[in-house]
Amino acid sequence: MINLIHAELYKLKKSTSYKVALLLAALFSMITYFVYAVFQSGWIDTSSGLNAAMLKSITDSSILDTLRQMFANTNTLIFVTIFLCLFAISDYRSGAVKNFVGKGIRREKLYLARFLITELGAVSIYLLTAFLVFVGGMFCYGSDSVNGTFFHDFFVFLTLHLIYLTCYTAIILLVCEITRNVAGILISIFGVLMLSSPILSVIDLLMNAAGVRFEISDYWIMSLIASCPINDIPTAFIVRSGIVAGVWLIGSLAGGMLYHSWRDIA
Amino acid sequence: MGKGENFVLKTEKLTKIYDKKRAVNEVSIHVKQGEIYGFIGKNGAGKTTLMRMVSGLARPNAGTIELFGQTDIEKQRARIGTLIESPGLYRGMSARDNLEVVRRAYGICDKSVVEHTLSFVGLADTGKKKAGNFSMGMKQRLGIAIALLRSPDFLILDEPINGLDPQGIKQMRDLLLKLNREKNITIMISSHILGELSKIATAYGIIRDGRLAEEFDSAQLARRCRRCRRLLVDNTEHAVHILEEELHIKEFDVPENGIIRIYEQLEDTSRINRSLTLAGINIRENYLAGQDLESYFMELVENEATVKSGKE
Repeated sequence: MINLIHAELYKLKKSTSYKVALLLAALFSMITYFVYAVFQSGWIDTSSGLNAAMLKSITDSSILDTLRQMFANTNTLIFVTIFLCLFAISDYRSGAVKNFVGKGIRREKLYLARFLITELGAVSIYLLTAFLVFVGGMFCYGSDSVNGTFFHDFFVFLTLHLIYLTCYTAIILLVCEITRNVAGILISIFGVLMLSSPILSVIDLLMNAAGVRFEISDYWIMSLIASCPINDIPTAFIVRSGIVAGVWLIGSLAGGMLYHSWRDIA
Repeated sequence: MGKGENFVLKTEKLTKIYDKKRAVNEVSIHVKQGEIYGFIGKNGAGKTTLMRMVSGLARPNAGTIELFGQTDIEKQRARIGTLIESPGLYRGMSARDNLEVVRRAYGICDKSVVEHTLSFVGLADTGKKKAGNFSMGMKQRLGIAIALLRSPDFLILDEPINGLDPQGIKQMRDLLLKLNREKNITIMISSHILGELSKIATAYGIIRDGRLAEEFDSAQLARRCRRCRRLLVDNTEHAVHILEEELHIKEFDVPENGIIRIYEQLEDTSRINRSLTLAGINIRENYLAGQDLESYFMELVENEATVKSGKE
């Protein structure tokens, strides 16, 4: 297992998709601050109109709001998803999976090692984003914005999103394991990332209309990502997050490992 | 093949079914230690499927596989190197990086094994050139380098000379012979280029429509491809009876109904003619013929040949 992790780490180090995702996520996390800096420089007239509204929106915002915008609005997750998919299917696209399967290495271990390293890659993207949001925010809003419960809220929110990310990584890996080609990218982006929450909301509405007092979207990871509050997070929400993420993580991992073990390698 | 022989690979009624079609149908093959086993068959005959099952890429529906005389094949597979269909390469990485990933995955502590293996296959000077920019021959050699990294005792190569130019084919042939002779690696190799295969193989397996038609070694092949007398007759069964009972000819075969190939008493034309004619058999053709390896293979692969003689 250690050897496989060692090999996957080397692949991650050499992975162009990882480097590009890291760079794009970093640039994207700085966009708000970049716009603010441009407005502050006086190059653009911000006395009225759309520019004034944008400047007010940024000025009224905070580091925590920016962090929420990055994680809850799935701005960062789109880059993470593309990286996860490209990395997960790379062994199948190249055929390199044949170099490891059937060489006395258990397939479950292969899958688990891939999960751990893709998770490491995804977490590093999130941590870099959070770091840049914080550092950029300090420059943009000044140290006054870091007060009272800031660090508590910042770390609880970040920790919850890292838990969601772990579960999300397992789900995307399962999708890619089943498709084993670029269809995995499309299904992950459109099916999981973009459309799953709206579809579940519609199902909730239909169930409500039918008199069923149960909201299925409460138990889907994308709904949790979108609805996670930035501060004063209720304990019940944290507990529900942990249970839902745990169940999806274990289910996806187990499903992926079983499927990887069972299906022939083309 | 005797019981005392060391088999590197032995399958027993190995079967793989895809969509109700038997891609491999109860195949029992035997690869002995030290052999270069040429695995021959048309496209879709089941060569790759069998190799994929042995390599652990596909699961058999029925039958058993023994590697190195053991049935714990998952463990024994650590001793084999494979190149099935196209080489599995990370196109964005150099040859060295590709081998480095595999070295780490296999837990090989000796880092110099990467350089040694690259030198052995003639790719030591490729530098940072990405595998995606390699020629077909270079990719195949890198695929073999990956297969060789863990010093395997048994190499399984599926069509390794496909797409290579004549020079690449020769390089590949020299490499395989070097591996077999210098490192004593047993090799199972499939190829469509039968003439090329016959230059290196020491044993053969012929697969047709998922079934193993025959297994023989190069000495048997040489005997089968020798000169023969070819007869075209109207009553094969009766003619065979006359040849066996009256003329005491043992070495002949019937590749298809009406055609008999006799491998002995080649100069005794008149006696054969007389005996068959007296028995009321109409002889339409009677001439001396010789077969080259390629046409013999083609015949085996294409036809349901009933080789009666030469099956020692």
